[in-house]
Amino acid sequence: MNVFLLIEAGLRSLSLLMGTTLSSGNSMRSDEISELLSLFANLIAQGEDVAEELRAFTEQMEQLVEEAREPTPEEWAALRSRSDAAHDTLQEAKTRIEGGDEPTVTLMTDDEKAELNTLLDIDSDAVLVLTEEGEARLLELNRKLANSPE
Amino acid sequence: MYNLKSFSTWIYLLVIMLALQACSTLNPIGKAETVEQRAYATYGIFVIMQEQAVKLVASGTLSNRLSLRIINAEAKAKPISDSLLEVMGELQEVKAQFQAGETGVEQYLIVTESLNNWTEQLRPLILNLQTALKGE
Repeated sequence: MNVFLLIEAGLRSLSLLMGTTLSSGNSMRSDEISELLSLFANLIAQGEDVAEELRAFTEQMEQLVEEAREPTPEEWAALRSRSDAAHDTLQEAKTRIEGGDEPTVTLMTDDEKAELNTLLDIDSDAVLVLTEEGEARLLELNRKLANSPE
Repeated sequence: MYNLKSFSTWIYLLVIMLALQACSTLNPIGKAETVEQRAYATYGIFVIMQEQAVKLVASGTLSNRLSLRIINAEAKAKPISDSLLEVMGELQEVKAQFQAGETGVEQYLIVTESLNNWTEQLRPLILNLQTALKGE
């Protein structure tokens, strides 16, 4: 049983439930929560990436043990290369964050809020499905939402 | 009124936490049988966590505070992992010298012990990074 699919299905169900039961008043913000839940259901796929990497690396270790050998200099070098690249990328991000590269603070316009609703067709009885383009746009709108003043 | 920024971050981190917990049965270090294999397994897990940190920070869904916390946790671990690599390099030289009869087994054991020490020092820092990735 794929735990990630279960979690994803649960989050999608919760998202739909919130979309249909919360309404009126400032319902837009409730809808935004529902839409964010949908977004994060898609982000669960990233967890699968980590599991796959760990699984592959565990298999590599099993093979080392089975072959009764130590890791080669080339295998060490490959890991080092990845480590240095990741470290450099994180340090660049730190420079951007601390150096005043502030994200643009932009309020979501009413048109963008309407677009968000349309993307997810939250009033539809259909199963919630996002196209690749829809997911990309949703991520973009989510970033804007995250950077908006509280 | 919901604080969407922190709520969305919480949901995102919950997802990652669940995913990481689901990974707990995958244990490369548990497969290792020698000091070198354990060092390699430990280092490899650190690299996987580093790359996960890169993805999370680049995702644009974390606050600057949380991103910096992850980045700083990684930066604390990096020098220790570099030291582990240096000792690994020394060990490879000593092994070659030992096989060529140019050094005794004592030197080999000393460097192996040093490698083991650096491996043990790296582990809690990896856990620290994992904690930062979970947003705890």
